[in-house]
Amino acid sequence: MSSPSVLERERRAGPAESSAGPASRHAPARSPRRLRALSERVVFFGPILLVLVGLIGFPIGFALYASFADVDNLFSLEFAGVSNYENLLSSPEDLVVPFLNTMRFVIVSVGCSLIIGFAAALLLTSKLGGRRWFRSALMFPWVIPTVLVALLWRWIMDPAAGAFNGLLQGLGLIDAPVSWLGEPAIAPWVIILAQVWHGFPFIMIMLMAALQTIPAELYEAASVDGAGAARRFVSITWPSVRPIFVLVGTLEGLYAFREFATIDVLTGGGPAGSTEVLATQVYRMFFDYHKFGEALALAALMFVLALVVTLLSMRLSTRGEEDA
Amino acid sequence: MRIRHSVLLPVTAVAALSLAACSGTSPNEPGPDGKASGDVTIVSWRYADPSAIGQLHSQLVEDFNASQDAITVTAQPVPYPDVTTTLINSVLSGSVPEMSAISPGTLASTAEYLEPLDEYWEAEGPDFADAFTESSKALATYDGHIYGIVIETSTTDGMYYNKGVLAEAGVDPEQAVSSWDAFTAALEKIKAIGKTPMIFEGKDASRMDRHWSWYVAGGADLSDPDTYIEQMCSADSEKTFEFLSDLYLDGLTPNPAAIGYEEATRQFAAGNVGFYTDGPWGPTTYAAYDDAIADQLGYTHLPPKTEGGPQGAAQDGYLMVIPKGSKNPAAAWEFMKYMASPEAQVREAETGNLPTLKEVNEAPEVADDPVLAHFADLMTQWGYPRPRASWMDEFKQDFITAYQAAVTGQKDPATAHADVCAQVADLAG
Repeated sequence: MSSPSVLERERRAGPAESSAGPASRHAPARSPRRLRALSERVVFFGPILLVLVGLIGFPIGFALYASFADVDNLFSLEFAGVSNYENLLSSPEDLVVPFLNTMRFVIVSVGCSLIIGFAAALLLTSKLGGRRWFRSALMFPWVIPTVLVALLWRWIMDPAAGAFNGLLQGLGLIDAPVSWLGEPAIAPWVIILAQVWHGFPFIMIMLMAALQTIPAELYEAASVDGAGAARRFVSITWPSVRPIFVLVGTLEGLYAFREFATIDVLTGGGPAGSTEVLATQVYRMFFDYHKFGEALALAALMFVLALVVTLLSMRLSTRGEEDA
Repeated sequence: MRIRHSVLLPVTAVAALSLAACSGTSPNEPGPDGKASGDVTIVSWRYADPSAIGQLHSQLVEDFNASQDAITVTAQPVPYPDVTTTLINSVLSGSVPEMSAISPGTLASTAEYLEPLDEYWEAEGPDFADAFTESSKALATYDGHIYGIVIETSTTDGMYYNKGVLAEAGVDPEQAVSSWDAFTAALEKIKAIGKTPMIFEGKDASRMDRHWSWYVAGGADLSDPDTYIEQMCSADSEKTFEFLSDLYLDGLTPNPAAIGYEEATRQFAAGNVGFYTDGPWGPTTYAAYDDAIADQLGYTHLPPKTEGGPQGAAQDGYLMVIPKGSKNPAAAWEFMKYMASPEAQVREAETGNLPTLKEVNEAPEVADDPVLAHFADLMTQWGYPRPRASWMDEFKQDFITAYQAAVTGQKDPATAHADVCAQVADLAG
């Protein structure tokens, strides 16, 4: 049997070993540099890593453990297997409506926010007169704290003294005040409206930033080649903003998925459970019913669901970039 | 980063609770026989209440501090809706106040986090216990143990009316509340003149506390916690459920599903509403919105189902308790006794609250005040402790959700009642 060639030996050994020769020749010179680089990383990233682990990693890990522990008995924290999940899922009908309400809230509010935000971004990056003023004005809802937004909408939609009823009555569109937040068929849409009003400026500003990075020469060249507005949008604008579009869509989706304050202030999950979502359900189980174990189990399931959707979105975004 | 927010609430709560739970709790110091000695500072949680009664409680704390040198009380306001949650969290975290105010209606949910005070009551001797009304002691008692002192008591089951609206509609208030049929007829008359006949609340679970006595009038016996569900799911209660649903379905009240206490009092104070049920503090609350309502206010009782039939007056109050882990329960007890003293209770009565000492109940401050005397009389005749059980929050949420479904046409009332009864059947275990 003949001995393997040098090339074959390198292939079998893999890239690390194959590069050992030249690396080892420079080892005395590079090791201190590597050590220095490593120590710099530790110095620069170590503290923030500790903070992240302490403030985010630990609570998540702890909550995940607690969802498998006995927390209903004065937080004894003894491992209890999947009993919390069993209790939670023993009456799945209680979760179906909040889950469907959550999906409706997320899909519709994010969809509308993306459409309005993108349209506003396109408009405000065009040569529209007064666009600087509009940019500032449209950012207004985004800078208001969520609870204040909810209180604002509660007053607007108040059945007795609300501005919306007053406006409609003034225009002669309704004869008597409507209880917008007291009707199960209407209340979910009022909440979605409030969420879209509060959320679309963020999408708008992010997409405006993406639009402004597209070189004008691309559009000029496309125009010279005879491309119309639709063609320029499909071939230039959309591919350029798509990664940011997916990113802000994912972020808005996660915001909406865990939204609590707007719903709690506006309707508290009512009327007749029409606005009860998973986040309000977790709150109710934890703080009202003191079913700590079930609340933690539901929160953990929400976490896993959000994680899966996020990973899928990131995958979608990456694939889009690869395709491009 | 955003993904963490989906579980931020429970994660934060649990992390905070567990971390704090690791820090040991202080041992209980002097027991029921001991006296607080030396300069002791204790923390007392009171309701964050800017009204006259809230100001009085602050004043009583200052007066107590000035009256002796051994104990200094620091009163910390806690928003009323958050008291139970805050109290439970504080006990779980080991960072408790020496004492707190709670609603007796939440005692069943909070008892496991509180110190039973049977020994303190016994140590004071029989005269001390005899001085309090039986109903107030019942409100402080759960599962055979007494957990504190009720320093004021009340019911929200009085019926206020607007004299001007009723006169315009040709409604005699006493005749109107003689039976449900008479009441409905009176509401129809008010509706006919274009006014709002009645405000009825059904916005959230807490509003069930305004519903109980209608069920009692309808035939339910809510005196025994073991039979709450059975009583609320009886054929009589199904009829009451339908009656209350019809108030909106027949256009006799604005949509209750969007009306809580704030909306209700604001609308009633505006002066275009016929009837509204509330407690003895009603007049000062409405006047805060609009002084003009004061001259128009009249008050009576809830209508019985049939003439001369039973009524109900669910009792609640202001219960001072000592959480488990309190560092100085003896000092807390001394302050509680001061808050329940005749002098303090007379001042309570002067600000529109019903005292819990028998002698003060008979004093001119109560007997000569027509509103207080009316509510005292309602409780004497028809009083029962507001329903309470460890599962009551879930029961109230389910029931109010069913009621909202009925009034908004999601289900017909009979189906909504049957469905919720199936849902709550196993709640009591």
